[in-house]
Amino acid sequence: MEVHFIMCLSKPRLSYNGKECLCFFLLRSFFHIHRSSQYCAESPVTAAVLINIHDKDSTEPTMNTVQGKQSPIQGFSSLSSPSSSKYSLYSGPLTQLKNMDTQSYMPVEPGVGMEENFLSLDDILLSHERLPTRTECIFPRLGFLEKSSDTQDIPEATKMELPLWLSKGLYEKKRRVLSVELPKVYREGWRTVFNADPNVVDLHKMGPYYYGLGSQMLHFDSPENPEIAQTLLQTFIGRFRRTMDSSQNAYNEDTSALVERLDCLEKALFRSGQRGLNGFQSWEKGQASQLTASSLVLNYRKRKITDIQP
Amino acid sequence: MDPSEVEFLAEKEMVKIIPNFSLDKIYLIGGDLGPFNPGLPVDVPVWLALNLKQRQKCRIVPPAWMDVEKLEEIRELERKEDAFTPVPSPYYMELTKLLLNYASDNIPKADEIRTLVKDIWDTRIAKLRLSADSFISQLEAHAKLDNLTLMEINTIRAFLLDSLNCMYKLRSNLQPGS
Repeated sequence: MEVHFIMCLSKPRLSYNGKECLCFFLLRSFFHIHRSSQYCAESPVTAAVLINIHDKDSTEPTMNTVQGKQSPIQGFSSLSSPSSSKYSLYSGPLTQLKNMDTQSYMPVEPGVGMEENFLSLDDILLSHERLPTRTECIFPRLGFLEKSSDTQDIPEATKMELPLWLSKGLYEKKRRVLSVELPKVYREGWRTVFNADPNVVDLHKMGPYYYGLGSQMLHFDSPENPEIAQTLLQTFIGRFRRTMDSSQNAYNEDTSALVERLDCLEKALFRSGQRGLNGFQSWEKGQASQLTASSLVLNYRKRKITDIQP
Repeated sequence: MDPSEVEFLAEKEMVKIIPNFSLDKIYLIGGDLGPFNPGLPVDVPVWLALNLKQRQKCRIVPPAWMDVEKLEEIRELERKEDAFTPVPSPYYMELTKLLLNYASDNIPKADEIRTLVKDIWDTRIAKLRLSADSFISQLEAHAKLDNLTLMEINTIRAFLLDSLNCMYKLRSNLQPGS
């Protein structure tokens, strides 16, 4: 049986070519297809790996093992080319999937505290945030990654911006490889702002995943860890009242002004509050007992019409 | 839980009707429903009362609490107290909606009753939100709320549970190494 890997990379900003990817990535296989082809992956981006399995006896490729019931990646359009040298940059569909409200997709929730859920789209997007890091040892023959210098190796004490998934994978307690600095939102200055009044801050601008990234920063053994954790908690508590009030009282209005200063975690809370409110109001008006066409059926019908008309 | 499911549960409550037909005792799985004689009041579940009313076979008698003065007293009491006062019926919101939609001709001063019940509901929901906010901001482990009805719990359940989940996630950061 041949196995072709179609690898989906992270945001289009990463301009690494194939050689660099193979240097960095260690792939974890979803299915134990062949013992010699087992790799392990640190990158959560490989949650988007689609494995196209060719049975040598049959002529058509089968995607059955990927599209099992538990797979959250049913929404991906099928990548028709099985060539293992082709990979595409796939951040667009990931965020689109996250925002879909139809019932054809069961979302996996983000992980608890310092853990991440491997299959959660929120956590995958979160792990793309860049962190300022400093290398503690030489990275031989990886000089092509550092655009500013022309050396063949990356020397010690170079400051680089690496995404979270890479920093987590390379970080070790003995600090032989990497040391991570806190982004400025989690440092002393901003922490006092949050302690003073959490409601004035635009958390969406501070990184849309303020709470998630903050929880992940606790992995890096900074001496300020307890204060960071405490600030995260107090900020959430301070902003909770406003989120609750705005979500429970905005019926049939344009909520974009209310939502734009919220972090992603708070946005999810806002949506669930809205759902409760809308459910109750529609019941009270008597719309709950009226039969309406499902949104899936409506979309299907729309798509059919556009197929017919050229 | 949907509001429609709560309404379904509310339809089990008993209400008094005055039928205009006669029928012997009927034996249902949930219980027996007494013999129906025209002009004599009988207690039936709300689902049956609404069905008979739609077929114009009965007249619904409003429950004792569905009265303007009583509801005004309840509303004033609710506004004075900080805690939740005992409700006239555990399904007051649903019964109001159902009876006033289908049987408003049998209920005197239907509009005022609707307004009063809505006022009571708004006051209680405001108290519920206040207590949820103090629950979260003081990081309590558990709280006890008496005299809440299922419909009120239902509107806030999703939001409160999600926010408590978020709190749990953030609190687990404080104790690392679990």
